[in-house]
Amino acid sequence: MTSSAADYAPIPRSAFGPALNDQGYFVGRVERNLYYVTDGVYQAAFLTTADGVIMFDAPPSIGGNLQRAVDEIAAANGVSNTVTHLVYSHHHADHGSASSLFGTDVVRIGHEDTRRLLQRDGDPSRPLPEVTFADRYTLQVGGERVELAWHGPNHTPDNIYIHFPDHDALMFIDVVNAGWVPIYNLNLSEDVIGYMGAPAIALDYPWTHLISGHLGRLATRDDVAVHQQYIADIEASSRDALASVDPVPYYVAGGANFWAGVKGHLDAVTERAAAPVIAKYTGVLAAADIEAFTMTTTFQIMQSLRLDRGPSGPVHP
Amino acid sequence: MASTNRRSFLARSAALAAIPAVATLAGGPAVNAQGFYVGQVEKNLYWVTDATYHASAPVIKKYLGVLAAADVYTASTAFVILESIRLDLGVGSQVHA
Repeated sequence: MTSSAADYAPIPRSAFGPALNDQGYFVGRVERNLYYVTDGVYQAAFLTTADGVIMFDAPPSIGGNLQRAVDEIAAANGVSNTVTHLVYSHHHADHGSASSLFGTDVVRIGHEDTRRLLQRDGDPSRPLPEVTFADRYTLQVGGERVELAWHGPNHTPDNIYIHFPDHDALMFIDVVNAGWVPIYNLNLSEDVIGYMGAPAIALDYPWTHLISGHLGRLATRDDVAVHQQYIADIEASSRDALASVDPVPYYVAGGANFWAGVKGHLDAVTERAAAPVIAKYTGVLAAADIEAFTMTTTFQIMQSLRLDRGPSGPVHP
Repeated sequence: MASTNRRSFLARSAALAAIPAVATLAGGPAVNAQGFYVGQVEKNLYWVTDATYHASAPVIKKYLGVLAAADVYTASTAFVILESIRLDLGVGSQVHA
């Protein structure tokens, strides 16, 4: 069983990115010699320098179009099209599995946990980064400077902030989707508190353009603010629902099946918390009305409020 | 009841102009004979939903009567494991030529 677009509200025009070319990609200038590439769903970026090209992420869905995009820009500007460095934003395959296309001579850079996790996962399409760092790393190539920083776990334990101080841009992946809600479970994120706090850290950097890793267009600071409000609304609604839903009927109904009681209770809390958020953001953020997205994100936040921040429930006298 | 009414409303109000872009987002290989996507790795509803169902159904069937509440939580656990297999291990990843 599949759903169709007709099952959902229209996508706000502001959520759309640029049209793709015949090969299925769009490459656009971010600032000067910093570019981003998208297939409409995923994004990567690259910086042309006097000594070659630095690639930032290598989503497999863009794959061979990464080099085509570099070739297109390099030819137009008369610069080298050789990718000499590749920076991993984090270890996930959907943003890095085209890394091996760039061969063994590329210098790969990533957080030390990215290396650890890639070692664990053993995927040959994502060769390990040889250059790693713990907190901060300044990448200097061909007269260009990029600041890499780790500010704690968020989407994954290793997801980093990539700042381009001379290009008025930040690359920060899988937290904010420009014009769209996060997909399941806070964009499939592992650290709820870290994920919720990450946009404020991103906004602490000076930038105008955010390369967020998904969908077609670059994000703005306003996009981050709308995302923050969406998450804040879910948090507030979850607090209200946790306090107002009476659990007793669900545990009574569950009887000896304690887990059925837990499910009934927590599903009721989630539904009550998510309903007003879905109503508020339908037509504002694309896919807000795909209930599974806001519902599962609400569930994650509600559980984090209960388990991370506490109290998890009343203390037995 | 409210959910059904709301879906009907949303279905009626869906703009044709939005469909091409959504089709792009939902793009990928056709559902196979077993009713789930294999190989394409895009973060979209259809792949995950179908895969989760097909991954969890035989496990639920196997453990009903063996582990209490096997029919309560197995689907959501299967979803988390599926996503780890896809994102951490890279299983099913196809690189665009």
